[in-house]
Amino acid sequence: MTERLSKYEDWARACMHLRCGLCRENCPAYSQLKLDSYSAKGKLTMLYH
Amino acid sequence: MSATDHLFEKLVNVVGSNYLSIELCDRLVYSKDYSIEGFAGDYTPDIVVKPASVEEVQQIVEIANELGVPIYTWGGGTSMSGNPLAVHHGIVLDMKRMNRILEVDPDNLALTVEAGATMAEVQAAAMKHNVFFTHQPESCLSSTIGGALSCMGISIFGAKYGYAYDQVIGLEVVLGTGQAIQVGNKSYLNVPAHNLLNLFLGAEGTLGIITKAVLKVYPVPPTRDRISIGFPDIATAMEACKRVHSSGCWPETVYAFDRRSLVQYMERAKTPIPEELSMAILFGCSGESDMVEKSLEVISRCCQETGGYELPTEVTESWWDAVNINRETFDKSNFALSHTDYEPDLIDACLPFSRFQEFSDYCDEVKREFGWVDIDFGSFIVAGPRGPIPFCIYFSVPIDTRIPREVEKWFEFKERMYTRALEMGGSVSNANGVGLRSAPWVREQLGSAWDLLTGIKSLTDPNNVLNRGQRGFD
Repeated sequence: MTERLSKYEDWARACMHLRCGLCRENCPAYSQLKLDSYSAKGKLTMLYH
Repeated sequence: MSATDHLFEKLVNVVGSNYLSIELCDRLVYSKDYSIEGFAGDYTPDIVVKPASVEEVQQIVEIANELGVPIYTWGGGTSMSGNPLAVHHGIVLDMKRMNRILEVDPDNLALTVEAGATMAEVQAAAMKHNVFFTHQPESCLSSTIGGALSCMGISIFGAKYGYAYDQVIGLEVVLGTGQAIQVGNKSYLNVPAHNLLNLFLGAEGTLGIITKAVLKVYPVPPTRDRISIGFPDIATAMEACKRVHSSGCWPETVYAFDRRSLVQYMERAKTPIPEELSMAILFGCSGESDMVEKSLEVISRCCQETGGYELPTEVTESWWDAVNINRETFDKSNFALSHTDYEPDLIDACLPFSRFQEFSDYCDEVKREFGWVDIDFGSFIVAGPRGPIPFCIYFSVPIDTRIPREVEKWFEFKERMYTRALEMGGSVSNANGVGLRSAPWVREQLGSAWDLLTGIKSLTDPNNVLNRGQRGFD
């Protein structure tokens, strides 16, 4: 599991620095309530806060 | 009952319980924008609210006035300068729910849209009706119309069509009093009195909240092509742009990058960059194919006459892929992955043309002094609006925010650069938003005009609820 996730580490680190929000496009979780905390960006902002 | 509970109760009556939150996890997400600012202070709002209509926005503004709570309006949160951050906490007004495309009118080349729609949504809606919406910043998949009109930002098509504020012919704005006003409509020349549109464009929501916009759209150009040209330095590159201007060519993309920026943008595609290259310009043209072909031929000739040389096609194409980010192309760009180690932020100034080189050299000098040599993103200059002569120069410095002192150093660096820009007869540029920390330079530059601006602010927002503490206003 950790190994499979590790290939996304660059993306996660990029998100932590950039917080661009491109992930909101077509995101099923975000589209529910349209709160940023439901998007991948939101989760990573919390994680690295 | 605490003040926040009281506020919550009032707001829940306006938007309903699904569309606001006082949960910490929801609020934290709005404590940082795209810039470094969020690391330097606590900007977590007390409450996040998502209105669905202009009436709801009006009611929220009225409640804020009644309770004396500040409102910070958010779009996509891709601000480069901390301008949506809740300096005094209070309410974050997230506009992304108001994202309806109200009308596309190809006959009148106009498109009416709510402020929370993203640029990509607007482009797609326009394309369905065979018209072209031209504002395309790198963040267009996530940044909103309201954000673009409030905070400016560049477009890859800016040299031909202009910036975001050139695309507006009408606005609906909710003032700080809660009153909604309409300025302009679908007619292209719409200035019955003073140009009130410009009061709200680029104002970062300090004078009013933009809720709706009537935007210009254009007939779709049938083809598009591009070349890139290398130059020995900034001065030669600027001369070449002047030649291109006089030649009668009308390029739509003019991006000038120095070597270091180019390396960063090409990183993902792994495109090799010629050894001797120091400055490069990407010229893009659109139109009928013979027109495009001829224009690029003339641009190339003009540049060669002024000391430039054409770069390999793979550099051109990989550069274009890196900056042309939309629904179809974003996975080819280096937009996100170039930032895995550092936080991006930028210096954004406009100078007299002849002093670009000097300012850039000064930047290098200060960077060396600050010890930022190996982690450099370099400088880039972008043309627009309406012409191939670039006039805004940006310096991007990647900062490692894990080192606390680095963040402070960045702000010192910024101060040195802006002070120097003003000394050189330059200006703080609004091209990417003025933001949180530019206030001292803005006040210095405006001088007595600053009083006029605060006077206007006190008229449109008497209780100072809109973006309190932002952009130099108290």
